[in-house]
Amino acid sequence: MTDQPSRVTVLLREWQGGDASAAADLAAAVYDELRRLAASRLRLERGNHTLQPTALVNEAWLKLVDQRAGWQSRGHFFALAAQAMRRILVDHARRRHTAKRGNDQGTVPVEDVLDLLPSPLPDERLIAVDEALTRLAVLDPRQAQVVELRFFAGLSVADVSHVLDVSPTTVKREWASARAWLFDAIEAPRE
Amino acid sequence: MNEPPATTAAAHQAIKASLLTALDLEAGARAAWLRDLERSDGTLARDVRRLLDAHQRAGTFLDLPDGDEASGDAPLPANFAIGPFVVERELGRGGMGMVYLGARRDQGYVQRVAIKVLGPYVPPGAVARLRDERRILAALSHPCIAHFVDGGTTSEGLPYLAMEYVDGRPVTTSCDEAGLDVAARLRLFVKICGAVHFAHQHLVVHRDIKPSNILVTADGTPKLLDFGIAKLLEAGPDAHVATVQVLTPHYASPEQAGGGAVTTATDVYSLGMLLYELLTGSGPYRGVSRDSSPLSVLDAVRTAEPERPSQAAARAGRSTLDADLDAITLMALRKAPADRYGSAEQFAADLERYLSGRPVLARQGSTVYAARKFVGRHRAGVAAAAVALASLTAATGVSLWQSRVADRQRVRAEARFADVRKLANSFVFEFDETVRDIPGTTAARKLVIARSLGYLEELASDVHDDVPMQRELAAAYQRIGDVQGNPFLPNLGQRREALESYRRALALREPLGTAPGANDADRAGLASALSAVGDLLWAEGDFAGALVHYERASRLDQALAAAAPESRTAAYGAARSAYQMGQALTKLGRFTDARQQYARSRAALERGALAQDTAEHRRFQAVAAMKEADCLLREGVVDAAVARYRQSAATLGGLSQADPASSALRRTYAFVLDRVAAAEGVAGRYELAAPVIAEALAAQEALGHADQGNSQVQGDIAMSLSTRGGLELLHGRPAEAERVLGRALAAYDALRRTQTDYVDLRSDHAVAVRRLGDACLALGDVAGALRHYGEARVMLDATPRDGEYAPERALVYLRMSDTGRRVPTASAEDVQRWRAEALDEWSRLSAAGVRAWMAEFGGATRLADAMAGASGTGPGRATR
Repeated sequence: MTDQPSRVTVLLREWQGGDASAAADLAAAVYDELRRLAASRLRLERGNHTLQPTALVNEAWLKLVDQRAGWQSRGHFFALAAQAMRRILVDHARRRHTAKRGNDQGTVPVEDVLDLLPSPLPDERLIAVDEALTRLAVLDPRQAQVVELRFFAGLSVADVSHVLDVSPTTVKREWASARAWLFDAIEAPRE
Repeated sequence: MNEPPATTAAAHQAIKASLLTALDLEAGARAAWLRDLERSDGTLARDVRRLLDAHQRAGTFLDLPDGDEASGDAPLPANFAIGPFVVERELGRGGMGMVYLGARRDQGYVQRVAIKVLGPYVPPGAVARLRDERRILAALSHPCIAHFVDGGTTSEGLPYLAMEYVDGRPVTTSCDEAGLDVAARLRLFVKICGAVHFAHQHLVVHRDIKPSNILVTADGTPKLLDFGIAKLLEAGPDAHVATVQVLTPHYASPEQAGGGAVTTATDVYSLGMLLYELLTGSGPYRGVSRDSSPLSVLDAVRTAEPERPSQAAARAGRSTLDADLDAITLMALRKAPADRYGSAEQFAADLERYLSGRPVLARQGSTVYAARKFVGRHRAGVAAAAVALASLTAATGVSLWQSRVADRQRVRAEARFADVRKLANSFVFEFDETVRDIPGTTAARKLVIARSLGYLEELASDVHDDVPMQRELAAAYQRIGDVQGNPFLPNLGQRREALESYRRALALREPLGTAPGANDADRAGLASALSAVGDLLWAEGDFAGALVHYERASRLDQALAAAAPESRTAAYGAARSAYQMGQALTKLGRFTDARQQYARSRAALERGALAQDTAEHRRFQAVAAMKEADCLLREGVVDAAVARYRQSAATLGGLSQADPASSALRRTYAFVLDRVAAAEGVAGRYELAAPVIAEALAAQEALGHADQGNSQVQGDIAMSLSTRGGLELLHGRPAEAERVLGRALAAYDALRRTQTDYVDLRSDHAVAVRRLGDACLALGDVAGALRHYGEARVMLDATPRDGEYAPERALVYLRMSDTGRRVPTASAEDVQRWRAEALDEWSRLSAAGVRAWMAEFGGATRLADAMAGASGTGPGRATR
């Protein structure tokens, strides 16, 4: 509709063109948009926990990026969005968890509408997955990214293969082995 | 004992590789393999065993409820129905949604359908497109096309399509299982081409032809599924890339892979892919397999030359293929759409020529070839040449035929349009304009216009090239959008619907207004549609997006005004778009730039041929003056701001008195009174501010009483209550402030329960909450103050970082860190973090931001100074 590409489209291009400083702005814009979308969904769907990270991420893509931006951009965008979704989900799980611990009644004051975000796992477990995933990322960044995209952004195997530009088989194998690794890391107490 | 399996990346890779090898083995083989591993590397074997154990115990750990690997055997809810269909079972699921088997019982007859529910992710506009498409799809009645039965939205609002249920096998599997030879495969393929051509004649392109979309039934009939569906999944009428993303890259055409236009030639290419696979059992690009990465597949589609089918077949040990089949298949797969067969029918005709041993079109470039064929055949040589010639002209035939379709459509649509045109005009325009300014009519207008919308959408789906009708439709969509959610007119707060309506108006206006030699009315229409979309984006908080639309509108409007200096309408348009740019710039925190646009807006009205003699122009000038004053106040020029506000209020007061029936004028007048009061307060003149804010509130409450459905007035009331609370605070009456602010918050709470959230409402709400915190603080309730500041912070954190509200956010963080120190339950860590936030905000404020801070919180100057002193740094860009 407009001749000019959106700001996020421009940032994506700059980033792909090697301008690292665009990444931070881009991440912030994506993070803000996802929070905004999540909040407005929650407000509309209060009490109905059908919030889908994958829908949010897709909606943010449609909203922020010029649809002619191409496949490469889509991959980069989704990788960022998955990171942002992870931060949003984990931050709120952590907040709720901390609030619960310091509170005998077990109820949590809702400070932010996003505190109502349905968590894909019990808060404590989600936090453990997040921490384990951070350790995994040190050993194997791509494997960790597969988990981020699959689990936190809810992308399908096919979508993850698009984003990372690897075959679906590779995605499935990374996913299977990461799942075992994370389960082991969480179940087996350390130290 | 419980050391992590690996501490280095290299060790991790080794363990991972072994784990995956082990997982690929059967239980028995795995045990043996592990025993071997044990002997060669005990540590590695231990780690792998441990992860294998974790793999087994992990169960559904991290599994996604909606993942594509989900088993799909979750029980369906009892009496699960979609539209008129009872769902019997799930047929499949994928990234784009679910497919169910459903049935409808009708007069003893059971109709079985496959129901495709799009979602959970649905592109914007899919529902509307479905409405547009369903009649076209329903007309696709062909024995080889699974026909469209019904479409609509589920109770959850997701679009669904019900298609004829086909019990069959994918075409490739079916051919292999039935052991069909090359000729039989070609005959089946010709039938498929016929179905695709039939759809093209109905102006429907499939866009996603692949083996899994073509089922062959037990009696050998091929059936094409999902015609027209890919189009529904587009993000918009022009966005082809969004389609590609739902496609399998393996079957994408070069133009789809490159984001180009999708046409009937796209389907011809996909048919070529299908033929290739039917003949060779593989795809045409060497080195591309099921397991290639998507980008490499798309890259091959765009650039790689296909391998000759005869070679691929020979490699796979399949039947020998000859050079004619090579030529035919490769012609369909040419990179440039124009180089392929002109239609699916031509493609089929060439195959039929091949099957009957005649020269094929694909090899006509070679005269030697044609002659050899002729000599070899001894019969019907002349006829063959004639047939070939006839096929060459077929492309022209198709386009002529298409224009006849267009003619027929126009005749039909015009007849119907004549019937409803009067009705639509009278409802959407005359009726609406009569009642628009009468308080209490917002809901009634919506009802009437919604009815008309139904008629208009019917018309819109039938007509493609009737320019006058497109103009009227665009105007009607824009009017409907106004009632649904125009933020500057009485509206129902349905912004999402409004944006959709405006976008439709813009889509209709765009080609008219940008055509070479477009007339002034069409260019003005485009500017108006751009503005409307900009307004909605603005209200949604997308100010940069709004500014882009406004700038385009402004360029068009300026040119129109310059071309017609005597035209009042043109002057008004130029003034309007400059004004809108001012608004967007304000939101982006660029107050000085914004003020210049407002000044341009007022200047345009003055230039416009004695324009100020009409009430509307004078109203507009007064509003632009008010906005200029807003900027002045933000820039810290308080006295100039007060004078401008007063001037604006005098004009608006006079206009409202002259036209007492106009609720819009009364509302605007009350609004500027609120601003006058706020500015007088900032200037420290409480005695001048108090009566003005009282008058504003009285007027707003009267308006709100008359029109309960109008959410705008409720927002005004909340804001004036908040302003009054602020004044009471400045005047040293915190208890009164607390009482008034309590009412303001109740009003905001009610609004935010019923209204779609948008940034202005949220930030105005935050200001009121912060003021309540100030009141608590003044009353000695430090804990209460901190709680309110915390609430305000959460709301402000969701506003754009460097925009209009940056000073307010800086203030809130400052207050949090100040009060936090005095509240025992606040941790030192939190206080530290708030202080850091405050300092960060403070250092990011522009010079104008700092002046705004000084102006609005005159009393806070001390705090700002204290802040600067405490941190040892002033605001980076402040000039004082």
